[in-house]
Amino acid sequence: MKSKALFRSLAGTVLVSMVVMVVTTAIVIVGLPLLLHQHDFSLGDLLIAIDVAFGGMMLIDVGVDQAFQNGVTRRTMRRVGAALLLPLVALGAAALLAMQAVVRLIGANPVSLVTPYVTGVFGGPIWAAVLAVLAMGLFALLGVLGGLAMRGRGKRVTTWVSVVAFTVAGLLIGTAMILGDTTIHAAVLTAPRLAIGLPAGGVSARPWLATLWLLALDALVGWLAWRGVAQVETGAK
Amino acid sequence: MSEIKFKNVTKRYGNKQVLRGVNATWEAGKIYALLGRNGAGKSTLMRIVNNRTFATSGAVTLDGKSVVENEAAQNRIFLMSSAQLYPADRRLSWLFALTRRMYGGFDDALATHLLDAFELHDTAKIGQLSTGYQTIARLIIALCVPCDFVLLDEPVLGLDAPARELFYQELLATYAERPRTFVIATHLIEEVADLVENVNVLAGGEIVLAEDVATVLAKGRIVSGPAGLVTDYLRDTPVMRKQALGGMLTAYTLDAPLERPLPAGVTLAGMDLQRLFIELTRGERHEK
Amino acid sequence: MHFDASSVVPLFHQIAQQFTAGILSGAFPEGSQIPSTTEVARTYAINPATVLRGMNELVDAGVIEKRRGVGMFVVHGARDRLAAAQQAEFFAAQVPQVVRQAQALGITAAQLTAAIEREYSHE
Repeated sequence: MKSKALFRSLAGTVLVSMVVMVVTTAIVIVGLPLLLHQHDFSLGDLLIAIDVAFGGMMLIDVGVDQAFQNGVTRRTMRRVGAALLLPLVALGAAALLAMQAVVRLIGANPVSLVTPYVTGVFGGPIWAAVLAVLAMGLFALLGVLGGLAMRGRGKRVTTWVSVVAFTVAGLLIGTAMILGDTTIHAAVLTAPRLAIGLPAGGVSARPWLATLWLLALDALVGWLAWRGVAQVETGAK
Repeated sequence: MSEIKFKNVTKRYGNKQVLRGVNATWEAGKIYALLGRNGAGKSTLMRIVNNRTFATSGAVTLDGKSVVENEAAQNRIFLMSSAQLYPADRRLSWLFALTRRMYGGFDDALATHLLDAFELHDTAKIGQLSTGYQTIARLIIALCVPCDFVLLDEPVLGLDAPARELFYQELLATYAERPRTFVIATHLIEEVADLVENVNVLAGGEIVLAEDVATVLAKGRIVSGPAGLVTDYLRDTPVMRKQALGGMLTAYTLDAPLERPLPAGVTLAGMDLQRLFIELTRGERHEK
Repeated sequence: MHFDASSVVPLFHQIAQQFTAGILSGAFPEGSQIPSTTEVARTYAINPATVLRGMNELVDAGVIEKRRGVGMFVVHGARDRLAAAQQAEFFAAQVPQVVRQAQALGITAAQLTAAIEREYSHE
């Protein structure tokens, strides 16, 4: 009874907001460079990822307190949280893949986390989907951890941190998009990208390496988030 | 009958030991006052019952089963405190509906009556209400949930006197109609003295008094008169405090020897619950 | 009705006393229904258990009776019974107290009796 009630309450608020956010972001990411007649542009994966992280944070922000007020156990919070994170992650991953598809259709050259896998290599789109889901999952869980860390710090701090994070990320990525700066984007990140199996500096992608990394990170962050909720408290002041 | 039982409950925050072994029982269908100085741990104790924080050691049970992470138990317990835990942008009507889905019931008729009595509309968004009205909104919810144990932590904080009186009347009205356990933690002792049946005093991290109010007041006395006579009258009787002025002595005791004849010149006055509490917890020190 | 929270008289007994006063004064005529426990509790914001205890005191004294499903009623003859009880109480508690006080002040029995008779003739 309580798990359904909590799910329903949060789905109506957080999930609905997230759909709007992600769709809007995707439209802007694709639309802006096209408007400016860029041909090769990097897709703001990171912006979508931040949206998803924000969704994770919102789940904690909006969900934990009302759960406690209504006698919901932490165990139920974890279950409902997991059930809500799945559509959130799927939404983010779908956005990545959809942006990819739309841009290709238009005839432009998108550069994104999933680009190397969508064409060519046998089973490519499957890797694309897997990596997109794992990456979005990581960000969603990071958002949850962020939300837990923010608890007790007050509304103002939380709002400020969110605003700053978004602004910084938005400025960085926005600039890159407007300037169509895919080469610099790739050059700066060559070493880290190679390390985790993403294509860089002429070396082709090693999706299995990237997958392993993401799985490991997901497991670690997921465990931290699990423990975080298991110990969460409320209402001290 | 159901009861909530505390067995050696302790709570430590870092270096601070807030609860040092609380033992108590809250029975079904009774109204309790939970009294304690600021920082005594009343809120902490209630939050432990409601699974909002964990005890460091000890057990809190409902019908013998631990309340920790126990949703069946938590479904029968409700805590109203000054913490505003509802989403701020939600209307009261939405909150009532949420509460109904969470607890499997909600007294809509009573809610309508209370909204009217307190002059509040259910279309109001809780975050936009003044502090006082937010409290009233939470109070209304607390009185309408189908829970057997309703804990109220400073329920009338910020309410003006007429609103407080209205609340006490409505509390008793719904209690008379559907008896359940209410535990009221409050500093306004005089105001609740008549409406509670039992009193628990939390001091020094423990429950130092757990008794029904009539019994406690029956033997609590302020004894005044010539020092020699008072001292003789109160021989062997534990005294909480003595006040000397010249040759006169005033003594505060919980256990006046009423069977002894009262010497002429010595007067006995009753102590109300607030005076009793002040004397009982005098000299208690709190590290902040 | 008014209740004194710091009185040595327990609240439940005060309730009984107030109803007693009401019956004696005719505010609650014999045979009439008196307010229910719930009504009294709600009106004066007093715990129903306390009110019940006070009412039960009067039931035990044979002054009011409970009629199931209907309510509580003042018994016929209650006034006489109460008046008699109050007189007894007066002689058992009040009078000895006055006498002891008079003795402590050095007043003789004759002086006290004379003063009492003077008061009666002031009617």
